[in-house]
Amino acid sequence: MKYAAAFLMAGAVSACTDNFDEINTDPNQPPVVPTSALLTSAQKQLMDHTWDATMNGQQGMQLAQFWASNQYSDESRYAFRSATINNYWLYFYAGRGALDGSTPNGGGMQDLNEIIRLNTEFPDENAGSFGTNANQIAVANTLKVWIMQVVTDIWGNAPYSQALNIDEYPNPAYDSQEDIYNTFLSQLTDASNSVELNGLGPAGDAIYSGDMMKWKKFINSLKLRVAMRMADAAPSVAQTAVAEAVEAGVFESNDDNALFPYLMNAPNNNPLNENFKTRNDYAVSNILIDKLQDLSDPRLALYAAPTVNSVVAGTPEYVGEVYGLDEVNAAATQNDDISQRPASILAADAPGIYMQYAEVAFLLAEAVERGFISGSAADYYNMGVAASMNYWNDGSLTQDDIDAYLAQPAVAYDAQIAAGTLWNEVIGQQKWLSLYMQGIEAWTEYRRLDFGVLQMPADGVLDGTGIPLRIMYPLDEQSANKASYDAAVAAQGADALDTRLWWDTK
Amino acid sequence: MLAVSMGAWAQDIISGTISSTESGEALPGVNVIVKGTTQGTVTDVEGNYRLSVPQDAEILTFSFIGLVSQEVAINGQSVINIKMAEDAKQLSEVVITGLGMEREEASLGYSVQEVEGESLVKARETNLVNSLAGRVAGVQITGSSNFGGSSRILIRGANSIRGDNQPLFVVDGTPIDNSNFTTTNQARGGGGYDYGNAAQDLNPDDIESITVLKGPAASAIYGSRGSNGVIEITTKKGSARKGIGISVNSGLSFQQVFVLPDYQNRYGAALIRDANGDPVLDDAGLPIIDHGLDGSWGAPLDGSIITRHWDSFDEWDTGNFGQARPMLPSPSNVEDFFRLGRTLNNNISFSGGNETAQFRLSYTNLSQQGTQENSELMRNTVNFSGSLKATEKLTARVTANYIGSDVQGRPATGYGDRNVMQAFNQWYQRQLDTDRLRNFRNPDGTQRTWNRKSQSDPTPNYFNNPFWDRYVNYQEDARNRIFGNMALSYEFTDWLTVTGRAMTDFYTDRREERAEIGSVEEPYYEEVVRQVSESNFDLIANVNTDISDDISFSGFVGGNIRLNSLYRNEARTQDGLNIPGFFNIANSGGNPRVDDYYEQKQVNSVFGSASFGYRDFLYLDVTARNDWSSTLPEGNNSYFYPSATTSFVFSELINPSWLSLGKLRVGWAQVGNDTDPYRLASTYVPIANYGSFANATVPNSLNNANLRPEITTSWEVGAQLGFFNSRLNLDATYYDSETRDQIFAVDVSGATGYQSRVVNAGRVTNQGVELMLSGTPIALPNSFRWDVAVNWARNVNRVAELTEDTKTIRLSSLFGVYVEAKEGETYGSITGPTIAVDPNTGKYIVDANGRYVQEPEQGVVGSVLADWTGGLSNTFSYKGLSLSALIDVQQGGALYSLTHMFGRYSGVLEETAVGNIREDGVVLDAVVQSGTNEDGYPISDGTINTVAVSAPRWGADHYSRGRATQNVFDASFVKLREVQFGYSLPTSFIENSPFTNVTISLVGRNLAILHRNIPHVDPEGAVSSNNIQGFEGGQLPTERSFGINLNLKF
Repeated sequence: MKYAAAFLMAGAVSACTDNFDEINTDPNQPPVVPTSALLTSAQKQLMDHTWDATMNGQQGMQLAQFWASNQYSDESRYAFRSATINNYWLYFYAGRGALDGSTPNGGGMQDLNEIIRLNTEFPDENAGSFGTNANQIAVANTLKVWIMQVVTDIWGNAPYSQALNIDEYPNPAYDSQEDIYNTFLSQLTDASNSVELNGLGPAGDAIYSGDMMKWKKFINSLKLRVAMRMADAAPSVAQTAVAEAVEAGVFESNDDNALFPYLMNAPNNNPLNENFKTRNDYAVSNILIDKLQDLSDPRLALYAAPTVNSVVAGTPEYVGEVYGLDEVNAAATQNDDISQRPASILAADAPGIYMQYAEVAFLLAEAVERGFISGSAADYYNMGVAASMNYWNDGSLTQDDIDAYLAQPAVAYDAQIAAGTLWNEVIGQQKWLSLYMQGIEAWTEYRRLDFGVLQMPADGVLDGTGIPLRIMYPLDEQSANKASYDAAVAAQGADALDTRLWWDTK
Repeated sequence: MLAVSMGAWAQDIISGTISSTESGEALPGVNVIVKGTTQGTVTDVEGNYRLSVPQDAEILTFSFIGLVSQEVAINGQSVINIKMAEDAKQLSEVVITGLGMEREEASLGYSVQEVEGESLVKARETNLVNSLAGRVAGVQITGSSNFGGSSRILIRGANSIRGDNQPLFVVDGTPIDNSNFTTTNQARGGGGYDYGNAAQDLNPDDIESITVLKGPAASAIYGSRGSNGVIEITTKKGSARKGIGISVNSGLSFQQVFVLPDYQNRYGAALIRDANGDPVLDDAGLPIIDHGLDGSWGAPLDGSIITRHWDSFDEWDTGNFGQARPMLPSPSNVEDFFRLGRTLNNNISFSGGNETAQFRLSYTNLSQQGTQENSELMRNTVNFSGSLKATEKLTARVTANYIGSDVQGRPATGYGDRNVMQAFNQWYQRQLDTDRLRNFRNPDGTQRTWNRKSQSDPTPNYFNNPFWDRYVNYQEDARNRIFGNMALSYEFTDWLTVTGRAMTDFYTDRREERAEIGSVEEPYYEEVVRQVSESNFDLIANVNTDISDDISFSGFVGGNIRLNSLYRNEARTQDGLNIPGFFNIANSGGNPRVDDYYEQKQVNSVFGSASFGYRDFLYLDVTARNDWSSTLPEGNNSYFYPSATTSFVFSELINPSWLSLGKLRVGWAQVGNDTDPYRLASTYVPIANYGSFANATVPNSLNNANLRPEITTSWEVGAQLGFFNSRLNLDATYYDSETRDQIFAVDVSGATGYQSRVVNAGRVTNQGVELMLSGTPIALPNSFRWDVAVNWARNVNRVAELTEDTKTIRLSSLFGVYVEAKEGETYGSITGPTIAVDPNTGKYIVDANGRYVQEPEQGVVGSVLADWTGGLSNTFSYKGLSLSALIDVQQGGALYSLTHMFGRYSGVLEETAVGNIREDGVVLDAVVQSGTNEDGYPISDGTINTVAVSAPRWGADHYSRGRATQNVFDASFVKLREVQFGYSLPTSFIENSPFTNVTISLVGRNLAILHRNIPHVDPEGAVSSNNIQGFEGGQLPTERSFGINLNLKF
């Protein structure tokens, strides 16, 4: 009897494992998605995490001294939070996911890699409706270089050749920054060459809506940026690459700008807008406001808001938050007495900038000064200033305003050079002003061009010895990828704020 | 019967009455059997029996659970009246074991411990799990007094690295869901509501007893789910009796907050100063306080500063508008925020039955008002159990429970916007007067808060008015739950019974959270509805037969099918709300965010058990089970696990008078485990559309299509000794368990494109000792009695191995301090930035500015697991009076305190204003750094530090320098957990009343923390029942409770 029951049961039980596959199929997540969805995710994510209140507001914008903390000011004195560093390393490579308790809002380099993988391994399934394989791969590689350059400019040596391949490299080794930069050049050259102008551009492209002509210009503008970063460390490589990029065609006007168009509503609004809904931790710094006022720069009213109290009193004025105050001093100043960030920058649909024409113009001016290309540095410089003015112009600026600004001895290119100011300062300062909101890039170019303007934090540095030359690696790498981390530190120098990166030769 | 009658050619009739030796009362339900036959009957409600016996019958056997069985020679008697005595000997104590099987404790080769339901009823914890604290050896309870909040239970340490280490709860054979459904952010103390663990629905009034099955040897038959132990609950049942029994139980208790930090009362909000450091003056020439800053490093509260306070800027508030008041201390402002909580519990139950049918029906209403205003909890429970002996062979049983709970205004926990303690303890202006804050609304309904952005801007800067959070931004939740089972048993022969059962537990849980327009956070409304269900179907054949006179046998074989499902629909408004006061998803400013989730799982099992007994002193049990789980890949989804246990009652062989019981036991078991659904195949994560573009991403956790089941292997040895007629009893157990091939997500370098990947790896070991010592030092003939029970347990946990590549797994982090599983360390290591120590002097190292210097790498500063836990209970009784006290001890464990870190940072705690530190600064007792060694570690030449750090910098450095060293504390405690005083009215007193029993008891819970090593907060402070423990992100004050219980029986 009992045996009969047992056999009956065993038979019944093992028979109903047939539907286990079906039971264990996840109905909440799709097994297949169009590559366009991955591209949208990557484009948004890349911008979100370089534009947001943490990586940009708390770090980039303060490292570039555009903004200052009106409270909780440790970052402005170069004491960085380890959790932030951990997170952003992860966000850049792998994207931000639900594991950290947040709503998943897209992938970083990993999504781009997936686009490349799908177009390589299953070319026929994606080619038809989501862009040609070549165009999709070119676009994905370009954005990969764009975000990876942010990574290497923040930290230095970093995993790249072994990154994003967990099956083969569970502990990816760090490549030297020189190797990374050389890889950038070859990847961008390949991307530029493989663009199919007559083929279908990628779907899901929020930047250029699949316009491959514009992508080609962006690829070469980025190549120009990469090459110029190498100018001191590897001048001949840089020179060749600059010439190639210019030859292949770079941005020619603000129409070519690579922007991410944020939308009015969450979760697709500008991340600074989202943050400002509940917090207001940063104000415009005195370094920026003083400089703009010294130059009678009309961008003052576009980069900052007059103080609330002065507006109430009927005499609008701009007062910068002193950069680098300690906690108590930063908190002691009233927000209403300090120039806050203007509404245009905090708007829900304020676009994020991957790269602008103004930057290209300044890079060309520098390339002329370095003898990489021929032409007039002053002309390119003027085009850069004008492009920046026009980009930020809310309708209040006329060409006459721009001309008048450029005519000032403290702004005019030739006059400054004649007065003995070095080209790196002349170009650097205006480039710095034009890179407003692109905090990491502005800090990076400061490190490379050493153009003055920036000052030591008013109440001194907390960590390191001065304006940081890089940021410490995430502590997570010490636990999850220790051997590779150790090798990277041995190769690059101490994991400290004042360890110089490869391209930063002086 | 028919067959027996036909075969018995001559019958005698024997009758009699059975009564209790102790009380003299009639005993219904006693089994009366003619020895050696199947012929028998049971006594009726008056204790009478009448039985036909064959003429050759010699002996009658009388037996009843809990009483000493007797055999009486017939010797021609036709009337046999006997008295039966209670069975004091533990030897024959019957306990509930795996799958609800009743077994004699003596025959068990593993440790089980029972808790009587009565003490739980008196303890009256809203969360049943809390009332187990201090009562069971080897069980670590981390409770909270959060209103309706969580309680975490760990039996013999943590086995699983990422899995749920909570035991399985089983009620009358039905597995009960104990999910928490909290967010990782809430669990780590990052803020959010503590909705509690679902086992809190269990109603103490309906519980007869709780058996804790501690190790796999005891719980192997439950399969994978038993690997963390099992809490087996038996509910009260009806019994054969005369008439309907009515029992009424009423409890009223009051809760009072009693663990609050020590605050300073000398300084309040900061004054606004100009570039020269001079105070900025307003139009009236008064200094201005910085309303927007949330710290207390500012103006002295000695009355010398007169200023306009936060409530003086609204013209409608004519009493305060334009008024300036001095800055004065407000020492009780936090305490004033809390009220006296009240819990009212009423239960009525009816029971009755005869020989063939019994039932019990019970209704309980729990109504609670929390210590924070606008917090109410209501829980209604209906419990029914019934059994019917339909024929001699067929018995039907049914148990059903309905629980409906409704909560409004749970207090928020942790470091989050809505937790009032985050403001009070961590970021506050100490001068604030709580009564004034009650005026939290403007006439147009908008908020007024103390933390206005500035004099001209009344919008909140960082904090809402706490009363706005209580009365406007409150949460609500409700749960409707049914669990129970139906069983049919058929007795094929006297040695074979087959039982089929259908068991289910399902509930709908709805949670709503909100923030009104004008709050510091973006206004929102969120609604999460979950449907949780588990059904089990089993068929078990029980065999009970003696192989020979010396060898007894019992056993069973069976099969089970388990189906689990979870449906979750979560919707949240985005971009604010449009219409004030309208909390509905339809009021979303932008597109609402939706999360639509469904999960299911099936496990099929077959199992069997065989128990052999040799002459009442040697027992052997073997069990075997095989599971097939839908969560594992085909080919690896079947796993088998065996157990074998043995028990040797040597006191049956050698029996000195002082030894009443002597037993040794040994057990070994292996248990397999599956995983969560959907961890095999790789999929993409859908994200909200970007405009009209689809948006999807590669997940950051990599699934694994080749998972294997986890295996836990354990063995235990134990001894149970009774001395001096059971006046002194000792139970000791040593156990050793190892879990390997665990399934968990292991952190990988982000550069791989993933944050983590799912692997089979790791080895976690637990070894421990459990001791239970109980005794009766005094038992006088006049019925005075003193009972003492001590339990003590030590568990040594090791994360012996993780993976080849990973030596550390991060379980959670909060403000840069981590709880980790680290190879070679105890599970739940707390790690973080530490201060450098000079090995020569043992002192901390500071830099030239007098500030602590950190080690270059993070260090381990403690573990969330306790070194040992223990409990001591003393009970005194005399006639109807009883007095008992329970002391609960935890030694070791660690807690990271945000209250300490930010309370010092913001200058609200007492230490930030002792002596002249605000004027003179703080000279840390440390040595000065002289350089670094070759590994980059700071070293010192021993120069004593003389440089003072300003007090605000010193405070802020609790956050920025050596955070883990400065804010992680030993979590040891000694608590006076419970004192009960009970009085049963003498029978003479109620003789002429309708009552058969009247008991009044007074109960105090959580009366005092007798010892702790952590300042300001309670070392025990769970905010969730999941694995993330050890963080105190803004603890709600612990509450003590005083109550009275009245029990009436009719």
